[in-house]
Amino acid sequence: MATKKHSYFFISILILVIILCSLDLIFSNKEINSETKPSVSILSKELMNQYIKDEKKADSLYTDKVIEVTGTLKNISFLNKKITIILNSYVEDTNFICELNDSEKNKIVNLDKDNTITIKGICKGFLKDIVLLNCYIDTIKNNE
Amino acid sequence: MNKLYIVLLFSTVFVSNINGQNEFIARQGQISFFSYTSVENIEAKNNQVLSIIDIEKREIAISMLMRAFSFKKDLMYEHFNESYVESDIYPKSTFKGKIEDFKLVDSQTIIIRGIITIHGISKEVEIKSTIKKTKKGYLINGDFNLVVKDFKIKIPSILSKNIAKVVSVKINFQYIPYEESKN
Repeated sequence: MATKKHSYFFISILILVIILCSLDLIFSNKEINSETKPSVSILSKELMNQYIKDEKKADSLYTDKVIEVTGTLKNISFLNKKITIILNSYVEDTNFICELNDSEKNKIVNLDKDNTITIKGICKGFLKDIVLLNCYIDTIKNNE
Repeated sequence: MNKLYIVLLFSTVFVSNINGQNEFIARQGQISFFSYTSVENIEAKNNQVLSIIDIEKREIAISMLMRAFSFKKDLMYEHFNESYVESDIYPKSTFKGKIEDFKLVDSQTIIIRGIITIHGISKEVEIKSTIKKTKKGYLINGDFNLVVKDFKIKIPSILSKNIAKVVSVKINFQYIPYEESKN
């Protein structure tokens, strides 16, 4: 009888552990990674022009999707304890703000101003700049 | 519509100082909010908030993408954007206000009073802040509270215990001269 009670107890504990592990898998962050295939690959100028021409349409195409953008490096920002790549858009008073995934921080030592960079991230929309979060640097090309 | 709104918002606030040194911009301002309940604490941060201040006119404008808030868990992000603030319909929130009693000294406590628009609903808010002069521009930190039901945000009864009725909000902006930000 006591053995049966013990079995029920251990089975209950096992089920509880399985449920908790499943919940953690379901509810934890599903971040993109360096292998994620982007839904589109586009030049920075082209994407900015699309947003300026019709923001609503561009939002419907790109917002909350993983996109890959190629442009030249304007600056690197360290504000808010985050590393952010600022890409030129070649449209006056606009940029691309690409907040890097923390795992990419070692790659910034290889970056120089005006390098052509292909960067992948989740597009969040447009303010004065197009904002991409959780970004990964795919390629860096020296233009010298 | 949204693009036009932003253009109008910033142009009406700052139309007379396009080339002046009175405008300062923060393209990567930070806004975070906190919901504390006995069931769970929810915190979200947006590091890419746009703000412009006009020091001479004592005016401030803020615009943010609601989808740019980061949460600890994906489910919180989904509930926030899909059910609560309906980011598909209202992708941006804005604030337009005045900095009161600003004396252009190195550091002081100020009150920013203005209209915040979230989920298509506009409300007057008062933000107790500090403003500090920096090497290049200004730094503004502040906090205020928002009542969730004021913005017609519907929380399902099953989750009502998980979300505070009053959410505390913190702002942190580092401004540089607007002209310099264009280079």
